[in-house]
Amino acid sequence: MKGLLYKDWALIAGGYKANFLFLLVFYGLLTVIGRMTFLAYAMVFVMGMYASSTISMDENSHWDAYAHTLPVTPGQLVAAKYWLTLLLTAASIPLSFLLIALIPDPKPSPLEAALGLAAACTVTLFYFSFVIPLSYKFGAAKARSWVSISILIVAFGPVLLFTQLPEGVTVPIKSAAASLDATVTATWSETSFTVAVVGALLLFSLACIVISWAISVRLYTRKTY
Amino acid sequence: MTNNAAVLRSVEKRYKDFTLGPIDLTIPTGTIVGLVGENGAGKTTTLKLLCGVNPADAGEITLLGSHPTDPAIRARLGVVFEDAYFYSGLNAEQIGKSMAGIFGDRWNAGQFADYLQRFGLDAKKKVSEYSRGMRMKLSLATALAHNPDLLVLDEATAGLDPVVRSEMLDLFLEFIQDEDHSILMSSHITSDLEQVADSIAYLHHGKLLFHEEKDALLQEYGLLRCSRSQLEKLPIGTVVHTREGTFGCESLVKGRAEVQRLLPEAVCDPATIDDIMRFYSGRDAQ
Repeated sequence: MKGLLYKDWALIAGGYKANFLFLLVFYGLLTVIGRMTFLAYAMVFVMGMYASSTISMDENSHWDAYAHTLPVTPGQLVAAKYWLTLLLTAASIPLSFLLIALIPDPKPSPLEAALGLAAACTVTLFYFSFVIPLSYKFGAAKARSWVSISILIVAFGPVLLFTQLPEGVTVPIKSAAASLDATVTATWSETSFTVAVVGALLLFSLACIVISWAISVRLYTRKTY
Repeated sequence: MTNNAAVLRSVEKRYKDFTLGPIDLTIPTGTIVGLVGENGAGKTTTLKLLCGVNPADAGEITLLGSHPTDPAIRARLGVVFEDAYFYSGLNAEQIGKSMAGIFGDRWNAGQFADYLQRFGLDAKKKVSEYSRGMRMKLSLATALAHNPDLLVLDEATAGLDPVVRSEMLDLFLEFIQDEDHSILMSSHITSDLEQVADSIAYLHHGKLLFHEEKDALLQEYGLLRCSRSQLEKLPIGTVVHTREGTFGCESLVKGRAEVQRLLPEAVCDPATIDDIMRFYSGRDAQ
């Protein structure tokens, strides 16, 4: 595992050094001078992207086939990609905090920044829990199209489905949602509710990563070259 | 240590437009087995099955006494694939560090550095700056630095100049010197195999036509030049394939000594591996 992580880290460090410095300066300036907080959050996603791009590097150099001859299990080979995604996502958090801290007053409060970053981490982890298995299934290039389709289905499918349901089904759902909203409003403050939701989503995205790893291992084991 | 480094029993792999096998092939410990065949005959497919890159659809593969999917066994395997390697943005030093992490105690960093020096490779240079020959040397240094018991080479000498190829062949002979190490190598450069291989396995259209001791093989087959009437005197099954030209017939024959006895006036030279391949593929093309 150590060797696999080192190899991917060396690929990223060698391949994205200039790109990272450019992003840091460009995003940094826009975040601080232009007060574009969302760019600091986007940094988290970009760092995750670096990790997943090593899958296409492996494909291009045919290292993915060669790796099957090494004394590592498919679980370890695939886990290296997930660990790298998690490590780079984690490493991007202090960086993003720093960029937000550099914004002149009035800047977002620490809680707002923490919530924004937690949301960014959730999106990043959720996105890569789709990208990695799809990359193993269809190849890194095709996976991006499949991810877009999958996310559209997951995000907008239920909404579309809801609009197609007969009123007899939708009305009870709407009234249940309204009563839940009323209960939540009565018992939780807006901040604590937001923290709870973002925290729950973050945990959910971590669970997605674990499930995604298990699926990727199966796909990688069955892959032929 | 088992007597065989690897054994394939009735192994099959089916693709849409190609089927390999069923194949029975044994790589005895302490020997070099040369795998020959035309392009698309199934050499790389066979090597990939043996190394655990792809699973077989049928049959049984034993690699160093275990199954190819066993990671502990793969620690004793060294592989050089023709087109599979590390990303070109890495250098030899980084590859060495990565492999040290993957192979753990088996990795011999000193030996890796020695191989790099012996092959004249700059450890700080990126793989993308290496020539094809240098990349092959790096692959070989990586495959050897953990002291594998079995070395699997897919066209490892392709693209190398004769001097470097000769160095590589010497290295292979050095590698099997202690009789615990074995090599399975596919190559289109059959003269290399004639120099170093103990036995030759010939794959043709996905089937293993033969796997014989090299010396016996080169003794057995002959290239006969004679007239059509002389050819007809030979027993059925002696002639593998004949090419007729203006000046007579050129045939690949089995049992060269017997043919020479039957046709003392004809010329029957020992056949090379190239000749054997050429005539077998010519026979099947008819």
